[in-house]
Amino acid sequence: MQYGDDTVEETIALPIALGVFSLVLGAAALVRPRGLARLIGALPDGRTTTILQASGARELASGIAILAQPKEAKWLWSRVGGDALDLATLARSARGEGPNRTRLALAAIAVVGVAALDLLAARSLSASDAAVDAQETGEQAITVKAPLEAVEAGWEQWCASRYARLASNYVVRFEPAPGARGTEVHLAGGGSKSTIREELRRFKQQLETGEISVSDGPGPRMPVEVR
Amino acid sequence: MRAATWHGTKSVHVEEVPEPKILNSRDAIVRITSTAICGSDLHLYNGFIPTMKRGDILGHEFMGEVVELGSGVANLQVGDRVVVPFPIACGNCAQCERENYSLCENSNPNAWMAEKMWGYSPCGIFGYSHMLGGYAGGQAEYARVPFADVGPVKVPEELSDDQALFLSDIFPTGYMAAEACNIEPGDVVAVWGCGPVGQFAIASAYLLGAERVIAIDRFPYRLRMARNRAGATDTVNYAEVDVREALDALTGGRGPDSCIDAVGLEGHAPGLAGAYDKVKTTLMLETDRPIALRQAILACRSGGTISVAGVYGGFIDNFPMGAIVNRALTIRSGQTHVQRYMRPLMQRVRQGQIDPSFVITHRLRLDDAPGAYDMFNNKDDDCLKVVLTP
Repeated sequence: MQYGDDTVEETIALPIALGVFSLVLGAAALVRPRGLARLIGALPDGRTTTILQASGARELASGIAILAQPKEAKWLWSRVGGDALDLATLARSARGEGPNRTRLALAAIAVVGVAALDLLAARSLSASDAAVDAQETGEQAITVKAPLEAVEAGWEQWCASRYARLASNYVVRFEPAPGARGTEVHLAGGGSKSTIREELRRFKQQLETGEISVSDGPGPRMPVEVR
Repeated sequence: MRAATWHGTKSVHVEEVPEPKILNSRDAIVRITSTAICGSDLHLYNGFIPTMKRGDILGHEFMGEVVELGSGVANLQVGDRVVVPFPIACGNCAQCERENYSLCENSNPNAWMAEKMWGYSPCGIFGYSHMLGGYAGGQAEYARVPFADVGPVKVPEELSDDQALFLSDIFPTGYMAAEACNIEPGDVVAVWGCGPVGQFAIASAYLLGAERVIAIDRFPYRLRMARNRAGATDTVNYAEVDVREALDALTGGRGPDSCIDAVGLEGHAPGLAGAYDKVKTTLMLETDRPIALRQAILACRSGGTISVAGVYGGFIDNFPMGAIVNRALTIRSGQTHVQRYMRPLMQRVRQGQIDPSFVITHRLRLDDAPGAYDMFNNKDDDCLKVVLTP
């Protein structure tokens, strides 16, 4: 059996490049806002430098977040949002007398290009997040201290008495545990990892102790309701 | 009924709460006659244990009279006088079968919560947060005892409450810590922390044949009790002397054969060593202050045993793993498998080998719980062990 994913390296190459880009651009905007304003064709007045420095701080934060957690889609999505803000700012800068509209247009094209890369990276990370989630709901196992036949019979009863839908929603597999350790119950199917674990735990309790233990008071609820 | 309830860090109230009911067929309801505040309750009091909710009933050391039984409990009768172990255990699972009761796989209804927090779940425990089961505690007039056919042990009339109560936790806890040391003739055992568990670890090390037992603490009244009542041969006040140097001097440079950490996650140390962990826990960069544990590992003789009875909740840093590897130390630990020890230790009490009531410094009413917590936490009035009566 193989656990884990060997494609992760490829997925994070683009985010890391974008993170570094964020850092460089952010630092430039913070330290040399006037130079950057001239480069993109905006008027290097006080208002523009303030806006550029604010964007620079945002870029730095994005860059640090991405490089610290290059697998987190949310940081890439934050860059996508930043791109939209930048485009709006460029459009505003084009108003009135003085700005170099050719340079502003070139800057806008550059932002759109980077935004496309941001979008691509964010979407592919989100997709791989979903893949990891699917893997996590894959299969959970618990060992019940009873012989194979008893556990199989118990499972049938369990599905019939409490969880009619269980049999159709889940795939179950029984294996004798080594030594006198009882029976392994492997359960796969719909629902989150914690839902499946809880299902297995309750089944084990029922079979081993004859009932399901109950807490005294109402405590925090399980975030995903069992079943 | 009246019960001591948790209302946030350093806030305990005594209030009217609903009486417990039988919820599972193997439950019993016990009318509590004596209950104690445990050192580990102070970790709740000081806000170290997550998933407590306002109004949760505290307490896991209690005894009393059975007043109601579920249909599945055949070994007890209404009217029986019982002492209740703090870990809740089913008696059926693979761990219970090995007598590892505190590892019971079936007694924590909120196991998912513990798994989320820690990645694993231990057994359920009375009055010790929702992730350990959300069971109501025993600092109350009544308590529901799940798996009552496995845990509670009948107390013979000849034993008083004071003599039997500590079989619920601290006596077995100190004893298991000493037992884990595999004490051989001539052994020197050092015990960090002279709270109630430390006192019982000292007494147990002595019962199990240690040649010398060295008690380490910073409060003179605790060191006095360790020497005069528990049987320590030597005492070290870590506020006044360097512990490592003192232990080397007391053991001819060998170091103690076994070291017991009966301090746990709220350790103290003078100077920089103590400040370091205070800062790290305040910044949430570690959860526990493992000061005693580090000292124990560094002081132990090569090839010796570190036995950890103190409660640790999460993550520690600057853990001297190199010393463990290079000196081939053995680390033993675990929440106490109380059910395993109650009967044999009760036998020792009946035979007069030990009278556990020696640790009691204060007897108060349940209604005095808020002040008692405060006093115990501040070590005021030489407080070591508080017994409350409802």
